[in-house]
Amino acid sequence: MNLRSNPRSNVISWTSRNRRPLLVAAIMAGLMLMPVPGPAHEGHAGPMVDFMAANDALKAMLPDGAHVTRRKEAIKAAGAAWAQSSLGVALDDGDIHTYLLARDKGTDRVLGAAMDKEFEYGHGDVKLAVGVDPAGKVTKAAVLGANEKYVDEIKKGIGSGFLTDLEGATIQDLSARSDAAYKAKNNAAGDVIGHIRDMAAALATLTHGLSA
Amino acid sequence: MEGTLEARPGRLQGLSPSWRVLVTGFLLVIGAGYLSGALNAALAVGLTPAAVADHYRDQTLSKAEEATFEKQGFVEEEFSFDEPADRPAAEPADHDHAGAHDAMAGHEHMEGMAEGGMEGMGGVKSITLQQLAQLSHIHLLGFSFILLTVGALACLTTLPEAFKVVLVAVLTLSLGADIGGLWLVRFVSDGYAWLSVVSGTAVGVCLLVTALRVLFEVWLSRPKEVSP
Repeated sequence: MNLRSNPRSNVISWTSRNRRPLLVAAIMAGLMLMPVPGPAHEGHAGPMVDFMAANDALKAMLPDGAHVTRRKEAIKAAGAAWAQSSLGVALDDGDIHTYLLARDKGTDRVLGAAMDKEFEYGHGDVKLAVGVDPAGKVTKAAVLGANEKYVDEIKKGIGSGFLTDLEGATIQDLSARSDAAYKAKNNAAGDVIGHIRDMAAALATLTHGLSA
Repeated sequence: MEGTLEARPGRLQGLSPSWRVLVTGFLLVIGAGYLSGALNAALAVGLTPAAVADHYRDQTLSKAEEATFEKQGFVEEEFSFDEPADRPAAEPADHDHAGAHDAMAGHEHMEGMAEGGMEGMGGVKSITLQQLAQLSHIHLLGFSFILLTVGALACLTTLPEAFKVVLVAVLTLSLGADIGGLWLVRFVSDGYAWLSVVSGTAVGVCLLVTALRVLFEVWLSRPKEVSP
C-alpha cells in the first residue's frame, strides 16, 4: 500500500503498518459524518404522543365563569421560604412560571390557578397539567402526553389524561404519594406525581402571594 | 522519516489515482454535507443573528414582556380558552412568534399562542438544557472528524506552514464557537447570536479554501523533483 505514485520519492515514507490507522480513521470519519444531521434532532424517544389537549385540561381545572388571565411571574425568595415552611417543598426562587389565574369577575378574588409544563423524562418529555384551588388543593391533574418510547411506561405507572386519584389532594398528600410510588419501584408514578406536586406548590405559592 | 506521521508538503501531488478519486469524493461529499447543513439551518432557524437569537434564546419572556416584567415584576394578559382551540398544537421553537410580540405590557389579548410549551401556555418553548446537550454532543462528535479529516488534508498541502497553522486553528475555533455560541445565546445573552453565524461561515470558508487547494494539488499541480 503506497500513498504515492512515485516510489522513489522520499516525501512519503510511512510504513504500511503506520498508514493503516490513518486509513481506518478516514473510513471511520466518512461513516461518522454521514448520519450526523437527521435523527439527532428527533431525540431518542420518538415523537410526542398527546393524550389530551392542554387547552381542554386547563379549562376543566379552573372554575366556570371566572375571569382568566395568563401570568408570568417569578417565585421570590419570600415565596420560596413560605413554600418550604408551609408546604415542605423546595422551590427555586427566581424561576419564572407561566400560569392561568382565575378570579371572581365581581370581587377579583382569586378562585384558582392552573399550569401545564413539560418535564424531561428519560430521553424524552412528559407533559403535565395541574390546577389548584385557593387553598392549594388539586382541582384536577393530568398527563397530557409523553414521547412515544415512554407511553406504555407512563400509562402503566400512573395513567394518562386526568388523574382522578389526585383530585382534592394537598401538596403534602402529593409528596407522600410520590414517595410511596418510589418505594414501590414505580418510578413513572413517583416522577409524575413529584412534578405535579412541584407545579401545584408553585401555583399555591404564587396565588398565596396574590391573596396575602 | 520512516515511520513518522510528520506532514510534508507535496504528498497530495503524488497520490495514486485511487487516492485522488477518494480524496476528491470525500471533498465533494463533505462540501455537500456543509451546504445541506447550511440549508437545514436556513430552513429551520434562519441564517441571521436575529434568527439564531430568536430560536435559541430563553423564550420565557418576549422582548416586550421583559420590559414589563422588569418594571412590575410580572406580566399579565387576558386569556380565553376559546381562542387557542383553532390553533395548531405546540410546535418546536421555530414557529410563529406573533404571540410574544403582541403580548404587550398591558392586557392585550394574546395572538399566535400554542398549547403545551415548556412553560405551558407560553406559546413558544425554550430549548432545554437536555436538548442543547444532545445537539452539542452529536454535532461536536461529527465536527471532530471533520476537523481531523479536513485539517489533515490541509496539513498535507504545500501551502506555507504559517498559513496552514492559521487555517487549522480557525477551523478548530470556528467549529467550537458554532456550538458554543448557541449555549451563550440560550443561557447568557442573545447578543451572542452573531458568534454562531460568523463561526459557521468561517467553517465554510475554511472548508472551501482547503478543498480548492487540495483539489488543485491533487489534479493540477505536479510534484517538484526531489534531490537524491
